[in-house]
Amino acid sequence: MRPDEGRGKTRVYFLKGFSGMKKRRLPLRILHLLISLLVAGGILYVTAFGSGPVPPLGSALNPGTGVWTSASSAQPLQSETLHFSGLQQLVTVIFEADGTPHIQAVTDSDMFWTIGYLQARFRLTQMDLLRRQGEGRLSEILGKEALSSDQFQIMLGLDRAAQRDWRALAVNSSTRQGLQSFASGVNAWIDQAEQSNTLPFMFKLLNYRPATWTPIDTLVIQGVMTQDLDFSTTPLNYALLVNSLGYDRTMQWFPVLPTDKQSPYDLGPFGQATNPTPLPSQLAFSQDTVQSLASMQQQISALPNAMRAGSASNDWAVNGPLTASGKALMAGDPHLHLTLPSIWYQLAATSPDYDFSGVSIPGVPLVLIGRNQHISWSMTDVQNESTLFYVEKTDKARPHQYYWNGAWHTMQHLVYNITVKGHGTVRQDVYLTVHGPVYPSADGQKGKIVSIDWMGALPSTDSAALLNVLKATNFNQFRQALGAWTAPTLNFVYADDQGNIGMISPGYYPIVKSGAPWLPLSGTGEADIVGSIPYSDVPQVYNPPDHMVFTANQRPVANDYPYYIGTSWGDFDNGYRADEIEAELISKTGLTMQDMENIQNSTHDYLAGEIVPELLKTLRGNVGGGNAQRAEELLQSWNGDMDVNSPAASIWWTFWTNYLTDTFNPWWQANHVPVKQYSGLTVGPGQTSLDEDLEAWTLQDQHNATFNLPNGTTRDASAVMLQAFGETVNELGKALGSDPNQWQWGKLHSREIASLLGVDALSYGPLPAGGDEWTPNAAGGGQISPNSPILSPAEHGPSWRIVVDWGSGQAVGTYPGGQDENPASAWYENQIAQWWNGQYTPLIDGATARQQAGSVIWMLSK
Amino acid sequence: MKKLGLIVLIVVASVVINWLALLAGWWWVTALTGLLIGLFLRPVGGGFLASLLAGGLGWGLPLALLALSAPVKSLASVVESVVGYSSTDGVVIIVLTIVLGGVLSIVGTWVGVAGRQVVPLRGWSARRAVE
Repeated sequence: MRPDEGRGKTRVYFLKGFSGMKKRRLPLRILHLLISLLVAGGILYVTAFGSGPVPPLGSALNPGTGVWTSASSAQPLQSETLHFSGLQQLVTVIFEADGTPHIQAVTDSDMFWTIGYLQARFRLTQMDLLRRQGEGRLSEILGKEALSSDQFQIMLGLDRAAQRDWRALAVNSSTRQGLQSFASGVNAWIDQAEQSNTLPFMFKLLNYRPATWTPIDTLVIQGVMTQDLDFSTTPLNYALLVNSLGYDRTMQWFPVLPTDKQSPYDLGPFGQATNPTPLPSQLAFSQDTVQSLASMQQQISALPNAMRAGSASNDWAVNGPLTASGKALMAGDPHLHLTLPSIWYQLAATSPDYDFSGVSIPGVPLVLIGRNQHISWSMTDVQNESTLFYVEKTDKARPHQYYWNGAWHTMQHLVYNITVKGHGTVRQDVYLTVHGPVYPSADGQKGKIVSIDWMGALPSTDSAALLNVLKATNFNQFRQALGAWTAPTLNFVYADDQGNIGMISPGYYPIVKSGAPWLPLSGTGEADIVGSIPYSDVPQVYNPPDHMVFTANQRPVANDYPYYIGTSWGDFDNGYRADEIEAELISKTGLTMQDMENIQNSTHDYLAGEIVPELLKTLRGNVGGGNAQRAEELLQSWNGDMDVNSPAASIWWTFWTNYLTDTFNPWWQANHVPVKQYSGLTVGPGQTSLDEDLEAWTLQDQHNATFNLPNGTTRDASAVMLQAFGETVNELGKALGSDPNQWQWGKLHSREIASLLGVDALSYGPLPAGGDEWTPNAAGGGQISPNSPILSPAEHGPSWRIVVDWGSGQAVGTYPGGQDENPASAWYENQIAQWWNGQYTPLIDGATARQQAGSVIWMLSK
Repeated sequence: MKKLGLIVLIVVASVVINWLALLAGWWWVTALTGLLIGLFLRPVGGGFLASLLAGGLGWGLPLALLALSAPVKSLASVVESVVGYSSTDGVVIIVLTIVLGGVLSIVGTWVGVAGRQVVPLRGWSARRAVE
């Protein structure tokens, strides 16, 4: 038989219709082929397109172009020359051993281009997530879990605001050109990464490619940061409290002006204080309205990153006789949600018009905090009230209309289609009144319609302001540059090489026609915003006679300031960090850079210093033996430092928590404050007004009526303190054992730097940590359950620390993270250890960096 | 010995083809080389073994080479934790990658073997096929 006879026969059988014995086998063979094709097809389909949460494994795990290329990207950099058509001239980039780049450009455009290129090279995933967050396009890559966040962002309108601001920029403005050059640099890296298949691994796991970067994306990210610092629900919270406690009692416990003595930086004198009063309509909300406000508060609170999450930033400057050099010293540590990668990308850059170093936000081509050759600056959040809520007058007979200024108006209607990964598209209707977007939409909403007037959505020229700050050489130029600042309102601290210091808080401070802005306002026109505080009147000081300026989110002005700017609750901090910083600055002369660093890392609790002596007075002779006596002894020998190993710190914090709840909770329960639905109303150390009230009463008014119980039982501060102390000893004994010496603070309190991707294994910590909510080195943890003293990890803290000594011209800085977002890189979290230990890295110039061991040089040319 | 040598040659050639294709992003070429092995290599058992080697080595060797200079295991650990596992320090991702290469090749071979049983290749001599 010929070698191919058998095959031929098989073919013949196939053509003849499967006859004979081999005919009977043929269907089985065909079935076999079909099964193999089916299985192979299924495997290839899943490998090519993924299935459910499984990404397309073929492209994702491909050793040549998949996630593995991120291992190559994580390798240490090599000195090399790179060529790009987008550059005008040769650019030199010198990387320090820790990854900090020094850009030396011959043109401004090339400098911005290179900043874009470097930020994208090391932070593209973060940049893309940030712009998607602001633009409401997270669902496109993350699925329906991100839909509520996207719907909120689209309603809020960061993207609309960014597009409007971009259109408003003059064609030849340096801001526009800088943003365009930056975008070109970002896109140069995206193109390079696409061509070399070296996009970060998350793009491959999530199976998408980054869109071209545009200047609008940068403006959106600025909006995201503004939202993080400036958006709040204070009026909604007040409305809920008024609904349960009544207006008078609410304002007694949560007053506009703080009840305790504070340390504003601008002392005036101002003259006549303003005293806004609520309109009748603000005190008589219908249950429908309250229901709408409550629902809104609940929904916004549940969203990640939707609003201001906390406060703890510090900045200060001293000069003249307070410093060892007689020159100016400046320190700043903005506190934000700590993440890996960090929100900051550190860099230094020089070009014909610029010479600066400091930290930038990935996606934004500017150093927000830093120094140039003549001045330095840092910032804290003013935390004035920047979000107003308007209850619109509507009529069911007039759908999508609202009554304003004596007439009915049709709401502006916008339609968006949100792409949701795996679920097609979801339509979103956005309705806008003259006050702003309606939340969540005017369609199908029960109760009243509420619109949001948020200062972060106003036309902004912040980029132009910051560009001019980078070029300023004295306070006049600095102050003039910040005149264009809109939002968020920030306390900019200033120091210069001539020994001058200052502070100014620019931005838009809304002034309403009438009514109380801390409550939802009527939308009919009677309470509209009529303008902002004039720039000449915003908080500011220059070379004050006491040679110091400081802010720590406290109310920046004295109580006679003639404008309403915010309340003691939900807006300004309780001021203990500011008090602590002031006390430290006053207590010393000949201040040095080391003193500044020590204050930034201080875990001394100012409030403990005030209250513990009162507590000890009360305890004297009223404590039995055992653990209570030992706890008292520990407090007696305590210096007030919330040290990680201190048992007294645990006793203090647990005591203060119990003291607050024992004082206020009976009233909350009697008045049915809805803490179960709205945890933000829970009594605890996070409620700034209640801290201030209890502090003031303990020091000056120990028989305040609030100590009494709602049923009429009379109590005073001493009685409540004794009760709280007893509970403290019991709770700590149950949680940490019977030996008070073992009640170390680090067993209750920890800090975590969470992964931006939400992956525990890529996070740092949680680890036992010192500090608390109002120590300069702030680390506030929330109570996990009412009867447990153990706190959730602090995820908010000093995101960057900088100290500039204009006596020596030296500066140092540190931040909890690393320059590279790639977790496999040596630069992912390499700076955390020094930050955690209170150490700093010098901010050196390019020439010094070039000489540094381990430095790498890139030459970028056309 | 000749047959074994030929099998080794085919495996090496397939590994090289797969490797080069992976560098271009063409991961599906692994299934195609598997298909060709299934169509032409005999016996069937030897074909499957060769296919497994071609796929596994085609995906594993580039990874091994990369690991000489880059933190492959560290990256594997990162990916593992991102996808929701964290107990094997990245080993499962590395193994999954190599297994995926093998599986793609094997399913290609399976289709080749099944197809050849149904539609014999005209002009292809069984003796010329590697048996």
